[in-house]
Amino acid sequence: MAGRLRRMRAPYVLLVVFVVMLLTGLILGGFGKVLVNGIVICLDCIGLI
Amino acid sequence: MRIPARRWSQVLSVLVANPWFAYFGTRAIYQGKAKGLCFPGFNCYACPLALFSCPIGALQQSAALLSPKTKVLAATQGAFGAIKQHASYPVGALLYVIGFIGLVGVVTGRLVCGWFCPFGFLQDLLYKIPTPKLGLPQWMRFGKYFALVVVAMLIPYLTGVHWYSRLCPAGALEGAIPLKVLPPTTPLPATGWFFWFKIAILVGFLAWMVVTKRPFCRTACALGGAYAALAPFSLYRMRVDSAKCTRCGDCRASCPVDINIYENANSPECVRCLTCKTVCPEAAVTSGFGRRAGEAIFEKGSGPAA
Repeated sequence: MAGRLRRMRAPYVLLVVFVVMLLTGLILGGFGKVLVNGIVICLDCIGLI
Repeated sequence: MRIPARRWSQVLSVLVANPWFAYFGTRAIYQGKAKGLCFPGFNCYACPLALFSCPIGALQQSAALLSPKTKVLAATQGAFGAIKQHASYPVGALLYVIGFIGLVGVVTGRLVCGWFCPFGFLQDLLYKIPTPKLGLPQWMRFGKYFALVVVAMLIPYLTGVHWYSRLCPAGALEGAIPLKVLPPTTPLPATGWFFWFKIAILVGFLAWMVVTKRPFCRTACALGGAYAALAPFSLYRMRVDSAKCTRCGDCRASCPVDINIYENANSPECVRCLTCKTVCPEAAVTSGFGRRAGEAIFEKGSGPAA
């Protein structure tokens, strides 16, 4: 199965898909939101209950 | 004693991921631009020294922020809720994180696990403690896919809470304990029973790491699960030359995840530490980008006769 997908150039298709996702995420402001999310987790990770 | 290149790489990765020594003076968690970048290995960004984000932390937080329950939680969580509301449309973050993890996985497979992951490094070191050793049942390897899909994505989406981080032993070791010992100037919530439950999970995994090769990577790492799913399609390939391999077993004896590379050269379990390349007496194991013409290659189940 994996071999067949490789022959169908699946790695290159996946590469393009993930690059497009990454760039779209950046355009939509994903970088800034990950930054905010990181700070949320930093503050919220201990002493939970 | 000669220290292998992989050890240097692991040490360097710990330092690159956690260089914020200014924390000791300022007691302020780093909140600059670099925290918007994901570190490709498993490194808690609650660690006071962390400079980058954990991709799994960012992934589940993005899923949690998409949850219909998040707005309800935001209204009841004071300052944390206000921050969550500010980031209430995290589609961009979700695409950014999935794109980042996918890109690393499709280019390198699990090379990051073997060379650049701080938590993988810890497991390699603990396994060196001389004790009786235990194997790992094959079915347990599916745990990392469950961790990725259910605990790090589905549950955060359904509940609005990042449960993987809350249970994560790396978070307990790198985030919870240091922040308790050297608390930041920002007030922290009071320690409750869940803190100690989290510490118990950490202690259990640390003990397991002493007797079993990389148990967290193989059973519970959501990031490892993502890279493992992409490893069979990755551009970086492992190869075993069928004409040279004698199945002597030296590769398995030295493998940090206990696999036979000659049975499936690009196994999802392989962390591409490349130790098998070093120890193979026949130089049958090679690796690189793309296939070399004329080379005999073992695909799954096509190894030489024993």
